[in-house]
Amino acid sequence: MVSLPEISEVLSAHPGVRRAETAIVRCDGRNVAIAAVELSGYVSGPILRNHVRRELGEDSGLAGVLIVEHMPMTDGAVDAGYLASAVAEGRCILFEDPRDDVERRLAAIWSAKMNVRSVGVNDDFLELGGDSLSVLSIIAAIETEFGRPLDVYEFMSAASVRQLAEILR
Amino acid sequence: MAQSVRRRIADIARAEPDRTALVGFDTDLAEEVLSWREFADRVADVADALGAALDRRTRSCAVVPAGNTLPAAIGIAAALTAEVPVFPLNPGTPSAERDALLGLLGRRFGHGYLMDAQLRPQRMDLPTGPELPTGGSAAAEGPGLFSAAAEGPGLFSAAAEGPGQFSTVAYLLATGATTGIPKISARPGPLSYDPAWTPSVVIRQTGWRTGQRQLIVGPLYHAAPFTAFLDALLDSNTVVLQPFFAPQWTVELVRRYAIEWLQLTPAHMREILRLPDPDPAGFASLRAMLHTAARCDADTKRGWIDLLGPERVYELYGATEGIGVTLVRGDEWLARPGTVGRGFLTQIRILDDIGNPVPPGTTGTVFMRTPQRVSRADYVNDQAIRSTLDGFATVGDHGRLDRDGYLYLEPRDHDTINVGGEKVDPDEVEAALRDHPAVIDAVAVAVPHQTLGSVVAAHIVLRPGASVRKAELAAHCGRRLAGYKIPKHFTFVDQVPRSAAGKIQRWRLAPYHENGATPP
Repeated sequence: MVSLPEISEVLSAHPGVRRAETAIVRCDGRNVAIAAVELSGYVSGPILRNHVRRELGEDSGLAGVLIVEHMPMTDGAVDAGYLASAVAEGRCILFEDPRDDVERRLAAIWSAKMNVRSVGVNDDFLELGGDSLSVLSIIAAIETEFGRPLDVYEFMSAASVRQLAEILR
Repeated sequence: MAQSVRRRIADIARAEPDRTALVGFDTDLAEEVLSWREFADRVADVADALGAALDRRTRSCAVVPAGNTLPAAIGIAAALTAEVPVFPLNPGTPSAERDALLGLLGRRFGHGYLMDAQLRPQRMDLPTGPELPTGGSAAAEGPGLFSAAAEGPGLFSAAAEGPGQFSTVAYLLATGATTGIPKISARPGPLSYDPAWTPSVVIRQTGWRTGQRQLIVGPLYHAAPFTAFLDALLDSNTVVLQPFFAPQWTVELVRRYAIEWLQLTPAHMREILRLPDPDPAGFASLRAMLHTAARCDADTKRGWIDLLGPERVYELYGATEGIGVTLVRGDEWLARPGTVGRGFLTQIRILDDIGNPVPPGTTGTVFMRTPQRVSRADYVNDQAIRSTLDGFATVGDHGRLDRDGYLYLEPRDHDTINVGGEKVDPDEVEAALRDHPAVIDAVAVAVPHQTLGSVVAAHIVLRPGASVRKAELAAHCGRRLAGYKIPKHFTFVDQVPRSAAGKIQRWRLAPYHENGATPP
């Protein structure tokens, strides 16, 4: 696993990022690395997370990126408690692997059609960089793979692999 | 995959040279028809002339006086072909407004090329507006669109250019007709044809078919008719341009040219319904009528659903700003009267005043997020778009979602009339007034009042030859509305100022003074 300053450095070098700090945060009984970033342009958390995974390797350990207006600091370091509460409140999506076959097949379709290497099962379609063209090709692929019609509205309201899997199961 | 506009028009003209591209009417209302070959030749000539006239040392745009005429259509297509940003100008713009618009263009462009009646580009110097910062992160906070910083590697940014680069622009549109403060929005360019994108996925859901015959009623200098024209051009359709709106003529054109697809505003819809006995058979060719631009009252909506059947009536709600859209078909609307539909490729979030999501059924500010979203600074001048850190944005509309995700809008804050603390929706008052047989059109406005703060007043347009006493109108309203909603003052006017898109231009109405006295 790479060091936290390395992750912050890669994030800070991203053209859409003004400042980045990374901390180890305890979530659901495990320790994960989470970064907080202040933006200068508009970039989503999952896109920044995947940027780090691309630069430092899939095993870089970065689980999530929280977009903040102002860096939450406490005692000269980024406030890990604040990051933990953001995760608990659903404001920071953590990367999670598929837990079953349906999720695995869906994540593979998203990954192929959006040309994105890491698709977490809770990632939001738009935040991952989805566009109206990938919507159509993903829906077509799902209809073929699962043999069931899926309308655009169902797809957009599900928005993540996990919620989509629940519709399809 | 993507093709240039030049190439696309040439391809269509080669494949189907004799099929009709455009039908227009000259000043004597004589029909003029251009085949695809004729249209393509004219467009290529004008595009070449524009390209030759261009001063390459400075950033330039083309300004096309865009009434619904063949020259306007050719001028617009030619600028897109030459890949020169094109601004369709309302030929009837008062000079002060026109100067303000050209000043906005001057912030970005050194020269404008005005296409004259013979479609010759005439160079004009644009008045210079305030200087824009050029690139760098400061630009994102600056007054404008065109700033490069917002074009960074954003999730939604259409342009792939890096910081420091200006994006190119396909076209510019004037918006803000309801507030009276002109502003201009720009679409990144150049425009190109890709069968997967033309028309947009949402328009394809509204009964659109490649090669269809469509009628353009609204003016080409407005967003919806303009973009419908571009889609038609790239999708090899036959376009009939109605030079000005007259309800009987619109119905006649639909019948005569067997029109398949039509986009109207609620104001158009109301006037057509008021024709004596609109005949459903006259609309037999129509696959779909799409309405946009303004809120549609329930009576007008039902009238059209009765006329066409629910499966052919579509409504789109979405800001010109490209934040997101909702779509609703007539049958969905009948099941949920008043809804503007569900988000189409759009996520909707209703937030309270401090930015927290509210549950279904609760009213708040409508935020939307979509992949087509233009970048945050996509405006020529200051713009009141607020956005969240995760990319949801709002133009300030209020509304609520039901459990199934259907959106219902509340009247806009600035339109609501506050009568002693009671909120009055002017749309409701106007609908009640229009329900009177002598009334063709009506606008409800607020009038200052000593004790109540404000009361409702109405500007009324009467049907030709009709007359009605004010007391009778008040009594008519009294049978339909709560007491505080009944207009306390009535003024008879020849017409209601509406933008060509059908939105009421309240700021153009003569102001009522306290106690309802109108200026002499």
